[in-house]
Amino acid sequence: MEALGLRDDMGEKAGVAGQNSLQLIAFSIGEQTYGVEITTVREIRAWNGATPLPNTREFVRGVINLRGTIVPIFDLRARFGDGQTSPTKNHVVVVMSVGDKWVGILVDAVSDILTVSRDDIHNVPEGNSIDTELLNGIVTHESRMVGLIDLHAVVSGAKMDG
Amino acid sequence: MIRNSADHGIETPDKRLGRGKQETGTIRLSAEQAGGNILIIVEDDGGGINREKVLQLARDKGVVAPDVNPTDEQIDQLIFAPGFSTAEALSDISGRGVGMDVVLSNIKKIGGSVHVRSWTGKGCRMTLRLPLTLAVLDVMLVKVGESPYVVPLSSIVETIQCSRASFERVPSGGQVLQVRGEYVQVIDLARRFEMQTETDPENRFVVLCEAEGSAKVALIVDDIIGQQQVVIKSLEENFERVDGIAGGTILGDGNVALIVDVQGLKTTIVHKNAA
Repeated sequence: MEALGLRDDMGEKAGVAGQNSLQLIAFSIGEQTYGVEITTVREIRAWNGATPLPNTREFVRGVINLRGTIVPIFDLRARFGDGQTSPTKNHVVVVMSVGDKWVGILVDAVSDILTVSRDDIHNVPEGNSIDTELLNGIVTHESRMVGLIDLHAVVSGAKMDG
Repeated sequence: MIRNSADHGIETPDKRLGRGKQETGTIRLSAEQAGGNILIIVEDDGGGINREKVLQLARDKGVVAPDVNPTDEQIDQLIFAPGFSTAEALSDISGRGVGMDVVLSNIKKIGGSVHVRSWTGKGCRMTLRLPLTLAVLDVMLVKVGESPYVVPLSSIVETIQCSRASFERVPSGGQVLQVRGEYVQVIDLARRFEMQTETDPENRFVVLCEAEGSAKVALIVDDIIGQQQVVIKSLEENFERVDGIAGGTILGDGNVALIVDVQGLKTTIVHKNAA
């Protein structure tokens, strides 16, 4: 059901890519490839450190100055429960808009722009709650599996409980 | 506030004529600069505050104890008390108080104040005092671990080197600081913010701050860098409120420094102890 909702949502924005296709920015965390819809991406920049935020969960890496605005950085690897990334200059921050907020996602590398058909988006198999919570769907591109990130879910729950 | 003046300040035409005033009421809105503040003045030539009625209502609601006799000026300020915020609470002629407590709390939030002066039968003047520069803050730049933090200068009383400060232990395992015969709560910012610190305890600094209600609190930081002015940036714009942090700012080198919320830190600690 979630995946269906996503398709409706994206249908309004997809214009450029045509009625039935979707353009994604693909990025990697380790061996895995994930994607977000290209229209949500505002800019891509190299990792250049961040000021840590106290009393937040480990996947919140801190805040950066994006031309005078303070933008939080989320560590996608840590968000998936895989431990914090040790970022180098080669790591990449993808700045995206989620609702009316701008957030940065720390990933290993940005790999490609993919055009996929909406019909090829599959539901996330039930089972692991982290997968279904953080992914909107799964799409296959050139026999690679690409997980579609649910940005709203990624940025929620940033505060430490209690 | 203008609607408030129109609704509650200006009397009905026949009442105005009876008082020898012009039939049409006047509300004057003016602004001036005074020092570092901007004054916004809302003046009307209506009936003024009906003090008996306000006092009566305050007594009924328990805001003013029966045996207390406030001065006229104190009564005028009562319209800002919470509980005076419904239109039915006061008569529709000269009673005032539609949400004035909300007005006051919003203005206080940005560091301003409201003053009201009333002349019975002649009118009422409300003065809003707002700080001219809402977004600029004088701060002390400090280091907690490797991260830059700023503490508002207005809340700092003094800074002391840890090696010269006299700490005392308390049963909870925490520490208190003795300053001129006064015992002050100690908050180690590195521990509170879960930062790594390798600074020799002797080389750290105490920043003695005054929170609201003149309660003092001693913050321990790793280094004091200096004094500067910063522009306040919101964290909530793209993120959410963070406990103990009042906001952020961008330093000259482009890095983000966080503004320490002295009052907030103190209150959360108190809560933790209470739990």
